[in-house]
Amino acid sequence: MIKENSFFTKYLDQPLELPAVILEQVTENILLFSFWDLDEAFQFVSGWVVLSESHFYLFQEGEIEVKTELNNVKKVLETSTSSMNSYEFVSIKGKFLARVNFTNRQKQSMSGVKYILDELSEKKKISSVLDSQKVYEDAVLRNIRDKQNIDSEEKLGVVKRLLGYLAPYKKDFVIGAIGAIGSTIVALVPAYLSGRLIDDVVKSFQNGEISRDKSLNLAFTFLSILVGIYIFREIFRWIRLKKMSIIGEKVASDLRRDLYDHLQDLDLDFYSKRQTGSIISRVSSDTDRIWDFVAFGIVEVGIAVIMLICLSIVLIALDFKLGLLMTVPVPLIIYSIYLHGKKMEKIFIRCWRKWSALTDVLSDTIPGIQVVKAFNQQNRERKRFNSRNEIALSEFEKVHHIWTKFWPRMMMGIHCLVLMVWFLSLPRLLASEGDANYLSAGTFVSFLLYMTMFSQPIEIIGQMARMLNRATSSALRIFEILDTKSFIKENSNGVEKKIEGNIEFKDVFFTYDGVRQVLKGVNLKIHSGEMIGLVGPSGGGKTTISKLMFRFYDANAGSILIDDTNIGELDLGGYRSQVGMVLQDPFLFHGSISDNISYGMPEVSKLEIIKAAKIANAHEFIMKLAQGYETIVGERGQSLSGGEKQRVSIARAILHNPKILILDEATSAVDTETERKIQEALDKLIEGRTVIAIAHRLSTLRKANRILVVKSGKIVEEGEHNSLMDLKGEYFKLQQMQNYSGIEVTKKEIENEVRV
Amino acid sequence: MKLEFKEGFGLIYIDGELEKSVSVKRSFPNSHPDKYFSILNDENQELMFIESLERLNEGNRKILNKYFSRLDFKLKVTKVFKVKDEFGLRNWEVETSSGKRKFQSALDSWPIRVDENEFVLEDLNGDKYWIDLKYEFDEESRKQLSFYLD
Repeated sequence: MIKENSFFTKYLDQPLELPAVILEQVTENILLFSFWDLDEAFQFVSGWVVLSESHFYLFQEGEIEVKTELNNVKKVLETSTSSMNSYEFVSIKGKFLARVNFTNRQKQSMSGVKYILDELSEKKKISSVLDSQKVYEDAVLRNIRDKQNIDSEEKLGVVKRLLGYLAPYKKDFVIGAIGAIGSTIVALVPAYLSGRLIDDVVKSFQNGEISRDKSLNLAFTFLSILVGIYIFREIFRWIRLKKMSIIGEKVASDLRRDLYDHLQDLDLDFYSKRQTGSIISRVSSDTDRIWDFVAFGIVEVGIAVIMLICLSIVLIALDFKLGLLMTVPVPLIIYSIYLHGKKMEKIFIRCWRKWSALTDVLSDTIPGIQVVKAFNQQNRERKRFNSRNEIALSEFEKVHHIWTKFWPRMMMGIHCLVLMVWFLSLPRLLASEGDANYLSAGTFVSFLLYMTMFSQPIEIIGQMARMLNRATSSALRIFEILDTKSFIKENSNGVEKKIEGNIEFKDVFFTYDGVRQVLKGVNLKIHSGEMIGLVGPSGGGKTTISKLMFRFYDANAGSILIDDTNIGELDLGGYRSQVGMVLQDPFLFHGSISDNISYGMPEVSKLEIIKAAKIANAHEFIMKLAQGYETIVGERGQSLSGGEKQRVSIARAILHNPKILILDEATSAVDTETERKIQEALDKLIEGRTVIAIAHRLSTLRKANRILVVKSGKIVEEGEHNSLMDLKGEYFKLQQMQNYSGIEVTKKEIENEVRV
Repeated sequence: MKLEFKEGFGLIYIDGELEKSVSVKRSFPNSHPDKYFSILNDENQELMFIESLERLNEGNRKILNKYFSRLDFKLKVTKVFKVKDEFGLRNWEVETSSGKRKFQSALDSWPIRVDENEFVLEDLNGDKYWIDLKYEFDEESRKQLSFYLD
């Protein structure tokens, strides 16, 4: 798991937890705490706000600044600028208590403190089970974690875990490794043979030591061995490439499978805290990088290291002095390639920035081309694009200027080494054979050939750090998801039963972030076959109630009963298959309309699909499409209007035949005629089911048996339309507001429409 | 209309018997900081629009200047120690007008030019760091910044 401490030190320079000096001064149980980081002169400072069960504390640099009873803090006044936020704490007597300033980094955790104080000042009950440490860590690290989850100390562990994915393919990996080692060692032989050929054949013949026939025979033998060596080398190389690239694909595929499998089990909580793009890139690009690393990275680096070691040994063995001359500068060459790589990375940042400025123009103008043309701004846009294009070109020219200078210089250095080898070798080549310094022409040729083999492995090793970094980063991003636990625990002994649709909430509390209670003791009882309308201001908790009914989340306190059985004791899959949902913005998958209607029910007949579409008032528009029910919709498919998509999703719900149906703003954001059609479809859909309809437009709840008004996480009113109107409370206010804003035509019309 | 500044209550707008806690928003905070303000109530509804500070009486002008002195706080970069790209984010270690700071920006998030000599860079948490080209940065800082500024 990620070590939070290293994250705080590495990225934030901020304490991971309350310092001991503060803990000594706060003796009661701590509800929540937060760091604040700017003093009155806007200099960085180490400050803490601590809420204990009974007191409010403010610390600066470990010293207590304010300590007062918790219920003495009446109000928290907030001001924000682009770089700073301030909270002013005001006492119950209206006296100024303190002010803290903080950057946006602390905003989330400080707003938790404000929330608790606001709730307490309104005499609301606060959960005493807050995990203050976790709330603080999550609040401060959430943005960094979404981008980066690497702790450098973990890299070795990550590589080990990644290599664990090779275990099922051990045999193939060993064969691939043999291929890699074989091809590397065999590649060293031709240079040696070439030297021997010169010394034992050419030179011996020239010296008259062997006859022409014998030398030709010997030469033929050498060449035959060379042919064999080359064939072996390519066979080894073929084994290596084939085995390792396939293993790479298999490992990437296993990771993708495990990842996607796990993603299906993760709670909505996980998805709500992460960006979709970030999750998709882990399944696609990160696994692709792993393939690249396993298929080529491990092997290429392995081969390069083996090759370099073998070459060094061979060169030193061939000639100690010349061998040392060639091998000693190798680390220096590798280091300079590494430095060059780092420099190029920086230079590429500029290129990337200019490139991004160029593509910004494209993403502005292409989607907005209608506006560009309507305002006759083509020339302006041409100029804007061309100027950025030229700037990008000039940056790329700089890049080419730098790398084209580096490599010739580097090669010049290597050539100098070769020249030095020549320089030192020539007197020895010209020496007589009996001389201690004598160097044979064949040995020298072998030496020269080995030297040409030096550059490639050096280059690969120079890039090893970057390659390893990228692969471990990708692997850790994948493992992070694989290690995420689902909070919704599937009960292995879950009761599988046909539900009737009775729902009961008993004193249900729920929070998404561990601090802000979205539901605060909700009690409700819905009978099978009843239609309940949930109304109230946005953010009041209506949708959260519906999500708990689906068991997308578990309540933090209280219980939810379905037909008198605790929702947690039911078989999750079996239960969810009996609950349906029609959302405000229905989602259609890429595929045919027919596939979308029968989603999750592949066995249904075409006639059943058509019947469901007819009930949903969708058949008519579907038949107007050229491909009828086989029209492809979703991404890259035929675009449907909001109302059409809604009717397809209603047909899906009809076919699904749920016992409990949740309608979440199903008719908002459509025109009157479409709304009428959707409403007709919904009227048919709700028959014989328990229906919970969330609606802003109160007129859509005309068939509801009861209406519950949800506000600030509580059910504040409950009853039939008329009795709620008579109450002249929240529901009445909502009606009045809608009348006033013109959403509803007249009150009379509502009274006629909303019959309970 | 009269403005007052009260600790614990912030800026107070007084118009006859009406007394409200208000905030002030600039329409052009970078290019015209002394012009075009909205005085907003706590529900962000505009109570008054002021074209220029000069149009206010001296008392109100002083109060607003005091108010803006807090509002104008910026994290100004004065030295760059290190900028390092990692997988997924860019790490900055800088000295600011408020002290040393480590922060992270997205890899594709570049400093944005807000006027001829000033850039602003936003980190992953939404904190903004101002880079003034006229500031006398040391050579290393200039070199580091050169990759990120025009």
